[in-house]
Amino acid sequence: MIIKRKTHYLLSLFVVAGASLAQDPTIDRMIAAQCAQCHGTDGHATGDIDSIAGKDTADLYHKLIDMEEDRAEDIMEHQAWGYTDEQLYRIARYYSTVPESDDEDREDEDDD
Amino acid sequence: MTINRRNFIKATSLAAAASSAPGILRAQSGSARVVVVGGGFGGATAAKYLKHWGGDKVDVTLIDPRARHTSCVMSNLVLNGELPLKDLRFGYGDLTSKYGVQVIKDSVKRIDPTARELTLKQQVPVNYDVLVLAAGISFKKPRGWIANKNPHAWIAGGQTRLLKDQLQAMPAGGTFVMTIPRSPYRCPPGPYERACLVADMLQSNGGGRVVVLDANEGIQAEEETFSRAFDQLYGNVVEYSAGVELGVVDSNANVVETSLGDFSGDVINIIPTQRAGGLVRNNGLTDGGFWAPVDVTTYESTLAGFEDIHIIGDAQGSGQPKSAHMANAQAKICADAILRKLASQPTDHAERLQNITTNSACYSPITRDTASWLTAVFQYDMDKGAMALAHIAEAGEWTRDNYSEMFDWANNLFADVWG
Ligand SMILES: Cc1cc2nc3c(=O)[nH]c(=O)nc-3n(C[C@H](O)[C@H](O)[C@H](O)COP(=O)(O)OP(=O)(O)OC[C@H]3O[C@@H](n4cnc5c(N)ncnc54)[C@H](O)[C@@H]3O)c2cc1C
Repeated sequence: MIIKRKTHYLLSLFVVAGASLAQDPTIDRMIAAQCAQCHGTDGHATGDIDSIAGKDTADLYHKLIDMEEDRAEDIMEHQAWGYTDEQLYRIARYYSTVPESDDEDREDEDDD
Repeated sequence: MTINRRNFIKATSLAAAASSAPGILRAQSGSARVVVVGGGFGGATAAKYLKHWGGDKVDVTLIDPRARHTSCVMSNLVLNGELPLKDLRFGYGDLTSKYGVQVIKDSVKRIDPTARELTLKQQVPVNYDVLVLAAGISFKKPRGWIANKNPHAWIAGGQTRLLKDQLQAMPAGGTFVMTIPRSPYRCPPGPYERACLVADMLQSNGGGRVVVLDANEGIQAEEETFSRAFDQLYGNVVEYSAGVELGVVDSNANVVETSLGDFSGDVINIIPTQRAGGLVRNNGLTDGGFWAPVDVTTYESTLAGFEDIHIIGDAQGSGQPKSAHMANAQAKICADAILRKLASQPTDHAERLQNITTNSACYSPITRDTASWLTAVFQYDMDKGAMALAHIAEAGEWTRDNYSEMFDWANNLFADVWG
């Protein structure tokens, strides 16, 4: 039931370094804006929801892909299921371009 | 200001028409005037993102008759006393100070799509190059119904307070009757969530009855969660019936006639059949139907004669759930499309169409300290030219963690709309 269909795509993505992907950043922005209802405008969230502004593209993309590979349980895992790999990549690429706010920097150090 | 604007646009329209730009006429200054009607979830988001992404290229004016919008989201928690109504009021100050949205406090009466002019209730007419309508819903009133006696509380504000007061004054062991209209209506899980919260209130006051009369064939959202809650938590209180047609409402006697017989109650909550707000319907944008037909890649009306008029949120009829989260999602797709058109870029190239997504995620309180959730993602289907459900899931259970996450979710949503 759990198909690891992402792996090959994942590798090729970084080998080809996005060459096969369309590059229009305003399309990235349009897709990524759909995260803002919960994660805040441009990824600056309040409360206990993760801020995603300024996250590293590969890190965020891997997190989203992992959500898709596991049996979805929580609300965010189910959200990730609704998107294509390329869309998840473009979302991650967009948020990597948004500056983090200062307190998010601190938060980040506690992470990983 | 508005008066000169119109002539200026007319004067430059020939030059604009000569360019390859689809549709929109622009002043030479390069900033087109977009007018957004309705400062609720859809309209405020559209106004904000048009400026956030468009900057000086676009002039954005938001029109709403009230200085602050009262959110329906979380308003069921006003009924059981968990939230004060004032916490659900949102003004437009940040939209102006942070993003440069101009706000007119007035109500739009009429749209002239040829002159591109809006007649307001009190102030001078307003002209637009592009119009976004996010005016919400209106009700199809059942015969005999008096809203001041049997509140709907389905547009938040005074109606919410009235229903709360009635619930608080209910005698011990009393009966609460709720009628649910045929889908589509605003907030599919909303009525069942409300039934749970009222049942929770009655149960902790020693019991009572919650009679739910649903015009639909069954529970319309989070079916697993709500059937379990009705059964396991509120088995002695909730009496749920599906497929019940509502007839005449006797608001003076507190009796509703239905296809299942007459029901009387101490408090009667009529949630009537819904359709697009009056502004959208009365100006021909629903073509005689209940909702406005739109192209979901731009949210522009598909009806002839309404070029550059976009309808987002509950008033449009694309088949996506009528939720605040969705109204916000659609506003962003719409803002993106308007800005592309203003920049003479296409909106219908494959790269964009393949990436048009919207989603809804919401939490439903099931008791005063637990909640469930529902989530759905939609993707544009190029063959059908419509939004198609890509994934949907419900929690199927209620937890305290969800209840506290619900506040984080709502606060982020509110901030993405008005903050
Ligand atoms: C009890 C309840 C609970 C809900 N809970 C949730 C939830 O948890 N999550 C969720 O996503 N959704 C929820 N919803 C649904 C949500 O409230 C609606 O889907 C959402 O408000 C739709 O946004 P909108 O912009 O279309 O309309 P609205 O938000 O209703 O905004 C319409 C605005 O237009 C203005 N207006 C109307 N006519 C005119 C005019 N002629 N001129 C100028 N302005 C005008 C009004 O003043 C208003 O401010 C809930 C609804 C209810 C009733």
